[in-house]
Amino acid sequence: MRSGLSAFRTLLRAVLIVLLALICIFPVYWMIVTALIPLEQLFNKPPVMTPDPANIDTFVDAVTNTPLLRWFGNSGLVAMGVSVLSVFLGILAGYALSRYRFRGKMGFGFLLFASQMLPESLVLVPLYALFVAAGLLNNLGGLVIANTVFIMPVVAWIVKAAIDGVPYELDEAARIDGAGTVGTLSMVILPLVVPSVAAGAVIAFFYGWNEYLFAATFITRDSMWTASVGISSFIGQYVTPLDVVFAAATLYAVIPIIFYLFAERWLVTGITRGAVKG
Amino acid sequence: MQLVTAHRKPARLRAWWIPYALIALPAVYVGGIQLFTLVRGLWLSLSDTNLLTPWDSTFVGLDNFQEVLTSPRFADALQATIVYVIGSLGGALALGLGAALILNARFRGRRLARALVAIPWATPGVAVALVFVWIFNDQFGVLNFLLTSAGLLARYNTWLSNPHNAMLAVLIPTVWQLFPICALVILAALQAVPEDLVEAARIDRADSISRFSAVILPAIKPTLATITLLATIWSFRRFELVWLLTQGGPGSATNTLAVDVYRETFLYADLGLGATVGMIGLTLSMCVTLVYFWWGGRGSTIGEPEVAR
Amino acid sequence: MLDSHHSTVKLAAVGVAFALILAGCGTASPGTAAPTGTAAPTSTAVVPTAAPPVTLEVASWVWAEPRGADVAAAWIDPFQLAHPNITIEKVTIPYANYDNTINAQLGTNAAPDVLQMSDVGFAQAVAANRLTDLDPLIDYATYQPKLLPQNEFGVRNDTRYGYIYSLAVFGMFYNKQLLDGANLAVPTTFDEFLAAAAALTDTTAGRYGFAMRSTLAESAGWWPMFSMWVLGNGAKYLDGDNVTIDTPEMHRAVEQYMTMYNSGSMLTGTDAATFRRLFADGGVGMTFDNGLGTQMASFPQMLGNAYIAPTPFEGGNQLALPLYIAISEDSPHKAEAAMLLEYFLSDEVQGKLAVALRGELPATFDFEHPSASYQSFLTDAYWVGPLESQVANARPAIEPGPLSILAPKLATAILTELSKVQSGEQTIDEMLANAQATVEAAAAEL
Repeated sequence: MRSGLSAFRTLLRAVLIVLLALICIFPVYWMIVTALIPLEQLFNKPPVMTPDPANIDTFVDAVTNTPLLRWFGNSGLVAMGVSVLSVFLGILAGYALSRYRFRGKMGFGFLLFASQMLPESLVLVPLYALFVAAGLLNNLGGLVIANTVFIMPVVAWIVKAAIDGVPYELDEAARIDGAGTVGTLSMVILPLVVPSVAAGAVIAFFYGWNEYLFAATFITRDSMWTASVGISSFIGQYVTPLDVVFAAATLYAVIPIIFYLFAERWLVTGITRGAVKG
Repeated sequence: MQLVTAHRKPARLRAWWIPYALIALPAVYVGGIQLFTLVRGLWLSLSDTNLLTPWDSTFVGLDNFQEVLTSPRFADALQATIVYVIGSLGGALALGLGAALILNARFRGRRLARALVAIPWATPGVAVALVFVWIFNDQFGVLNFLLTSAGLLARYNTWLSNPHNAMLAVLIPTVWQLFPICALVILAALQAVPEDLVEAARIDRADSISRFSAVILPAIKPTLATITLLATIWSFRRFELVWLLTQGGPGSATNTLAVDVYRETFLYADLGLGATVGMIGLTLSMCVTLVYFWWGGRGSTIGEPEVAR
Repeated sequence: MLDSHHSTVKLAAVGVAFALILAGCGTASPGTAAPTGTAAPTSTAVVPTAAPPVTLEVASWVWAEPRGADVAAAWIDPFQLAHPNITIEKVTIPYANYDNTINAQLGTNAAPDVLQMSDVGFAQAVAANRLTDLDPLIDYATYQPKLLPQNEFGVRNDTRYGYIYSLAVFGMFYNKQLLDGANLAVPTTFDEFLAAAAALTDTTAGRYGFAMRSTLAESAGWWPMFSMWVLGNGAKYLDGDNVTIDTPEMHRAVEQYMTMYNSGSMLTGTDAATFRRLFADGGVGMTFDNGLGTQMASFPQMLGNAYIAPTPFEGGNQLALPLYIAISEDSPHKAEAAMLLEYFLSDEVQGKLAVALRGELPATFDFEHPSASYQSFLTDAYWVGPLESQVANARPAIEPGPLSILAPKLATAILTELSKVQSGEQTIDEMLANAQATVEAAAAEL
């Protein structure tokens, strides 16, 4: 009877796993399907569920007839910039929060936390005015600066939580050996929290890649658009070429997904280490 | 055995300026920009300013707040926000907890499953909005097709264009995008529960439900609490997805506070009212945070909740 | 365990990357500096002979669309060739975001010099004094004979702030084959319209007699389409200082709309992209829409079969939405911008634009003597005829007036209440009363 119950359990678990996987994948699958269906068949009833995968004309069209690749380049630059800057600042902040007690620590922690509460639309106008005055409009670096404010605290927490898991004895050993703060940080602590740092880098990268509102407002030159803005610009006044839109959107979405699948091992360990402490 | 390591400074005072040197750059950068936008936002909320002539500001004191708080549109927006927050939180936590429990066991393909779970989170908001608008399309969307084919629906339903269904239609992509991070965080916490504790529970209680609630749940409670708080304030602030799906419509069915700020600021070009709504939304977020810390924060400082031991 | 070399290298790499990003900030921005607000002399349109290099920014959403290339070829490119010292930078803002972004830009000194503006955006910008008076810069009398009468809408408070960039005349599109197949004449009254829609509807074949936008998700596009019913019934939203929403004419307009909406012959709840496609493929018999020319370019199967007629309401007006072209008040290059605008209004460009806009009418239109290129366009564009005749009778949804700045709130109020009537939550009387109250309250605050 016990084995019967556990066999049932296993079956139930298998069904649930498949269901979970379906839920996660279906919208992305549908994006791909819609991109592959020729425009004429898009409005069929019943809808085409399994199109011919050889139908990649729309993808080719999206890539060659639109500035999509340049937009991907812009998105990539912003994402990398956000990632690097967030990791750099996040390591500093995370280390300080983990290892030191100082007056204002609570305030600093709250400052980081507050960034998660500020609505983007509230921040948009003052930031826009600031960027105009600083000449940062139409500047991908400006986007990096704006986006990092919001994602760096998340990176800082992940790093901090990971550093919390490093025994303080190692710090002390390093100090006895004569290492200064930077030395301890770089030679002792960081190597042990690489997965979490990597997790933070990936999270920040996604944030920069996916972001829409700031990119739409601060960049007006269409050659400098990021992919999120570029793709939404296909929605025209009169006609929206749905197939091209979905081909472009699929490529846009699939890139971080593939990136994630490769980095997954590190990422989950990194979040794991962070989450347990937090 | 210590699970949480000591991260106190040793007794002898080290160079006091080191932590300040470390946080100088992040603090000035993040703090500077936030403070600037906050102060400007506050100032704007107390003034009557047009988006096209922002230098031409008239101080009006609390008039904006009075106008907003007594307007029926605000009541609708508040209601929409609360429904949205509770809906996305509930959905994401439930689905996230469920997914974490499922993934917690060892099985073949577990690594793949874990990777797949994060796909919704990795997908860009613009793409999510585009595909869900298409999925929810009243005439040609695949959702209507699947539901009617499965017999769950008598005829095609209207989703995003229907004031009664729109909130649900907006919550679905929201939860879809939000639950992976909840799942992964909870999964990590589940895996950190010590084996001996799990074993002891299995011996004590045969019923897995009571095993879960009496033993496992308390062990992951701090993590749950943190992710709940984060998910809540993220939901308060979420703008992009809702805007791209419905622009706050139909009517004010999905006009959350975050969406209303954008509408007021950019469509009606009223910076003052927009900032006012934004400030109110921010205050709500802060109240929620305070409630969280007052209620659940046993020995926690902001950003540093610890495993309950 | 202590991989010191590895970590130092990593830290150094981070630092270097950071430095590179900062350096990249400098190189990433193209050389055009934002205008700093010093105005060029505004009282002359005379071009200095020793012409310094100047960059003009021209904002429009059309640059992102297929038509944009034609428009640029008709207007921008020849101008640049003729004036080598002037570089024109096309500022593209997506249609969905256009008003928002332009508004935000007008609130800084960084707005583009020449702006295409929507009806609502134009009113907002005029009210905030962000646009330049064009009469000192451009000699109106030269162009006046050929200007469409709707150009007068560019005059607010006795000052001319804009010319028509294009006039989108809305009408009833119909599928001739379907109408002929059902032995129907083109409807000219509402009853005929209702009957024709019913006759063309065949739900088993998935075909509907009529379609138009009907959801708040597409408010910006729903507004003009709904206003066609209002104007057709001789009703008005605003009349000078008064809000005239709760009136018998308006009531009739909404009643007719709701009759069609509930008749079962109207395809409801779909977005424009969907029903336009359906119309092209014969899935919809009639629509209220504009931009047939542009749609035909995307859906060639419509050629020869799609036509436009005036809306089937008796005694009212047709709808025409003007888009304006204006010069920003902060532009440091007003003289050059005026040159570009005058070139825009020249016969040469207008003739080509009429073709490039594919049926939206440009600012000047000589109905008696269309240009040669327009003549040849007409042989293919068999359907343009009714458009031309509708122009005299065509008005915008909200005419310029003391209350026209309320347009966005008015539109939102009307459409919100209308959507509640559509879903059965309230009656038409309640809708009109609520909308009237809301708009009057907003007017009181002005």
